[in-house]
Amino acid sequence: MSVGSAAVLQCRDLHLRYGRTVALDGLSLDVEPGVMTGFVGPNGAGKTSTMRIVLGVLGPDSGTVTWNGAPVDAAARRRFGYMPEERGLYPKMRVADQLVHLARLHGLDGTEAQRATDDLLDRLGIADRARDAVESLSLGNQQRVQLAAALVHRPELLVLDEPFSGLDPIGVDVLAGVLRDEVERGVPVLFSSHQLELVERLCDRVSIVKAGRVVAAGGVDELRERDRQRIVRVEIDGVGGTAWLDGLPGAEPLPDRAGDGERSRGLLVALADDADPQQVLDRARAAGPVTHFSVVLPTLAELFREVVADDDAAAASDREREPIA
Amino acid sequence: MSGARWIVARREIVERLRSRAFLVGTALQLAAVIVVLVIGAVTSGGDDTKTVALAGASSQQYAQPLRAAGPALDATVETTVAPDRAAAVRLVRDGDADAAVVDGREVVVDDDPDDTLAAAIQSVRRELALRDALDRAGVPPAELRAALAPAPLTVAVLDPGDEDLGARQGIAFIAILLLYIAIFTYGMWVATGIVEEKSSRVIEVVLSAIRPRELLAGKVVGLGLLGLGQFALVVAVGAIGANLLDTVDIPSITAGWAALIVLWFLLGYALYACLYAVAGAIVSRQEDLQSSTGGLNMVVIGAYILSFAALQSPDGTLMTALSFLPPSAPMAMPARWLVSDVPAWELIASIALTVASIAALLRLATVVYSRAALRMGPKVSLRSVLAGGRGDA
Repeated sequence: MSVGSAAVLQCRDLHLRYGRTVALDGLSLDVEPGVMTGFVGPNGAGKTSTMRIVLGVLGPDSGTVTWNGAPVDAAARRRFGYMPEERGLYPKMRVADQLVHLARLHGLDGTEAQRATDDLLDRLGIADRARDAVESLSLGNQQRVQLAAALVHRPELLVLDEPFSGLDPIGVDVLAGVLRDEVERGVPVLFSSHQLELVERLCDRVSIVKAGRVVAAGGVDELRERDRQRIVRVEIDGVGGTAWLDGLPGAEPLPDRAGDGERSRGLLVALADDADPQQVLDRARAAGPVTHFSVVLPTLAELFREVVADDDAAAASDREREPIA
Repeated sequence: MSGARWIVARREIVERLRSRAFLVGTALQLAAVIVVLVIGAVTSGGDDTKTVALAGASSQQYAQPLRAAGPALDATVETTVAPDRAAAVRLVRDGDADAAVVDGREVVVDDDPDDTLAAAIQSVRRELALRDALDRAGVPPAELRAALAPAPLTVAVLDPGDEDLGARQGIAFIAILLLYIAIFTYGMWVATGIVEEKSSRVIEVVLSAIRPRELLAGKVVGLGLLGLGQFALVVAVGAIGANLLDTVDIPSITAGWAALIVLWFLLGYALYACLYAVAGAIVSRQEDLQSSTGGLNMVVIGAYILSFAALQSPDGTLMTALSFLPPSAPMAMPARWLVSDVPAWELIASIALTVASIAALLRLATVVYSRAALRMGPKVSLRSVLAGGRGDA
């Protein structure tokens, strides 16, 4: 998170309070061009507030947001694309009219807006609904229109608040495909999500936010490798359960990683800083023939839990509140 | 106005023109105006004709003098011959005749509340009696005619306005009613339009592209233009229709009056649109709109009722005060102007006062809207918004 990074969007030291509630406590965030950045954190950590500040929907108490090195102004924001957490469109307006309207608000002229709308509706597979009122569409199609609303003016930055929530697996794939296309065009994408496997799969970089600050940020693999928590995977022929670990200091069995492919055999054991993996191996061999023993990287979800649960996360999430309840 | 404002205004106009509710509403208003005009034309009997049936030979001499009495009665008098008394009574009872003269001795009327027609017949009788007497006394025909039909006196009218005061008051009442309906309707459009964007949450998408004050200005202007079109249409149809049907007794529902009423509509709309914008901005659900606009509705209704009542004495203190107070001036001032001689400076002062209030309220509405547009949930108090909400205009 150095100031001299390649980031095109930089949030620096954002502070925001609602009455006595601290929403942002010196949050800094970088978004690099052509990179998909995941923004994760518990509810109330400040993700939505940060995104709203980037979009200018909300003003911070202090701190700066810069785009290409200059403070973000209305002209720059008009070229951002935004999907708010609270989805919303004009319910009675026709799909195409609505997208043309929004594109024009973002500065496109009538012809461009119409062309961009037609292209996008084609791409999202809802061209046949162009003349229908939004409220008459299925929820899935409404989500697609919502995404189209963020994309229709060909934005230079995409900020999406929980874009995957409420999507079925096919919808997730469509959205992921569209986002990858945008990233390939060089558009930086920042999105928040609670679906950490998805973030791990899609994102190049991730920022973990907690209680109004970013507590970890960097490449996803880089973070996983840098993590101080070590995890070993142990498989003992004919021995299940965790009883053989009992009494070993600094070693904690972890819940199984569901859906983790061929590695989902054996037991995952998290080791404290001072614990020795060899002691775990000794214990395992004493319990039975060891058929597998390896050091594994934590998943993003495990990393997240560790980082966030560190101290007073529970207390913090009680204290913190998203601005719009 | 910047591009964004026009784009917003255009959307308001296009979407509403497309909505069935708007088209039906416009049609209903026009229908109401036409119905009122037609009822007025029918009841006031634009071609006021009185028919007098004459039964018996001695009644026939009434025909010519009665017809000549028409102008004095503000009507055209026609006579018809009835064979006998029974036939004459039937004509009167059936409404085919307004009165009958039987054998030069008796007047039959069905219903002549102010006795005007009966009085006219009595006066004809006196005239006939006088003519006979003078004739018998040997007065030469030329002198007889001169005595019976002298050159009319010239009439000097000291207060010419009073003559059609009633009709002008009628127009003023209608003007107040129309202005009230228009201000109320279009003001509520602003409030519901704002809440619609909040409740559907589209507001956040829109505000990520443009500023709150651009959205508010575009909305108010768009709805205002639409309201202006609808209002001007209703006023024009009313004015033209009234002149065509000759419902109103004076020829002078002039273009100037119509323009003045439309001007005051614009001022009234602008003033109340700001207030309705505030009422809309502090809630996020249509259900809450009723409570947040309740006080404001009372102000509009109060201004309407007071103006309506005070118009009975258009030069009274109450009416004068109402025509200067910004909340009621848009209704009271044009009404007063229609009815009495208001000095031009008073009109200008009242307009200036209203415009100044609009400027102040526009600032208030912009600040409140900018701060509260993204506040969701229960109604927020105006005080807390003004004390330090967030969001930039």
